[in-house]
Amino acid sequence: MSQQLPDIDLYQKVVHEQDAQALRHLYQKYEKLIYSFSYKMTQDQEVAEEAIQEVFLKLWKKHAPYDESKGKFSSWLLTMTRNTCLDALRKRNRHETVEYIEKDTLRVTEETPADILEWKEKGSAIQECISALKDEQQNIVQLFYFHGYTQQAISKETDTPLGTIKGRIRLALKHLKACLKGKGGDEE
Amino acid sequence: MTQQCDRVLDYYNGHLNEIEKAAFEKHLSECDDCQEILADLHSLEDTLPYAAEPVEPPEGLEDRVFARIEAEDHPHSAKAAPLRPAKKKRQWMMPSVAALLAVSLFGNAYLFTQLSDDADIVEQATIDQVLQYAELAPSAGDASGTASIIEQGSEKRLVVQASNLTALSQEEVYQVWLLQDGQPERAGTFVIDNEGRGSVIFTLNEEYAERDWDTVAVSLEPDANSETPQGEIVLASEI
Repeated sequence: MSQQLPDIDLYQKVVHEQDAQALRHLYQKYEKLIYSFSYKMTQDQEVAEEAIQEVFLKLWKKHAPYDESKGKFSSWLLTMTRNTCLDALRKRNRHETVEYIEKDTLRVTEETPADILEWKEKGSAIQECISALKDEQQNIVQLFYFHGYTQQAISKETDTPLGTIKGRIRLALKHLKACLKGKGGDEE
Repeated sequence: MTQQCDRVLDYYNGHLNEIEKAAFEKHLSECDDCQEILADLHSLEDTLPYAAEPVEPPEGLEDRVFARIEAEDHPHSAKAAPLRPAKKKRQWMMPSVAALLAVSLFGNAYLFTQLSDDADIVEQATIDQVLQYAELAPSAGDASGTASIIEQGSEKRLVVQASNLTALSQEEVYQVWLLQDGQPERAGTFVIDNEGRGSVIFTLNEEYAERDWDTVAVSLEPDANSETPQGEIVLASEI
């Protein structure tokens, strides 16, 4: 892959010129991140694959227009991925109860792609900050943010009264923000 | 803090239906507390996803993604045919609750059996405003249902629809109750079709419309005359 245009320029080519090559560049850059994030959310290789397909199809079909007022392209892409995964989880949860089990066939690697430097940087910072939370807060953040549980489901899963879930999330978010700030993260 | 504040997490995760979402957004515009928690979440969106441990995508994923895009671009080509089912699977949207309510209102014309003196039948499917909405949780089994308080013109009505209910014997009915501080009041009676579905619309009289109901429940009653719940509660929710 040769040195390529900035994300926003590639995106413009995709939507204005229907440039499939530009889409492929974006795909190649973000495949591993989007797939890994989708897998973290859905804990299911098949659903993660479906989600990444959906994300790039939406991009191609301009179902989710992006402009720079929405922040960084990568953040927007990740938010779209998360929403797509949540839709997939909702669809699946209507039919079955899901248990999150690590699959042994999964190929976990240590490598983050060289052209997404922030994955390594932000990844270790956020992981450290999450680990620094109390166990109960970590658990709730996992269920709420990464698995998209409803408040009701979190309450049931963690045996916590419904009314206290929000307070715990709020506290966990404050801790995460403060911790990241301490690490010189660029979040506002 | 209001009851709406408790919806902020489900709002963020997209679990609210259109009606709940609209009601929450109205609340959000006036609630600093909810705005703050969402702002915190948004500020972390740029970082939290990077907590994902790197995983190798499965082999051939790129080809499959682009084959699907190709197929969507040329839906009439023969090549696209095998991908059609995948396209269909994409429709993850929840059916709109408004549509369900409309169906319920129409369906009511024949499912409707008997209401208390205060009630009457609504035949038009226009919904002016949904004031409250709740999904009813089963106390046992896999019954499900929804309850809404809607405002049509100057009147407020309680709309309940339920499915997967157990069949009734001769005199038995399902009775809807509105509760305030544990005190139940009758709020509509219905029987079910042979697929276990039923619905009822109950017009709230002036007194009922003013009251601050906290719970809606459906019980299985021996007949249509119970003044307080005699049988077991099958569905209930806070409202």
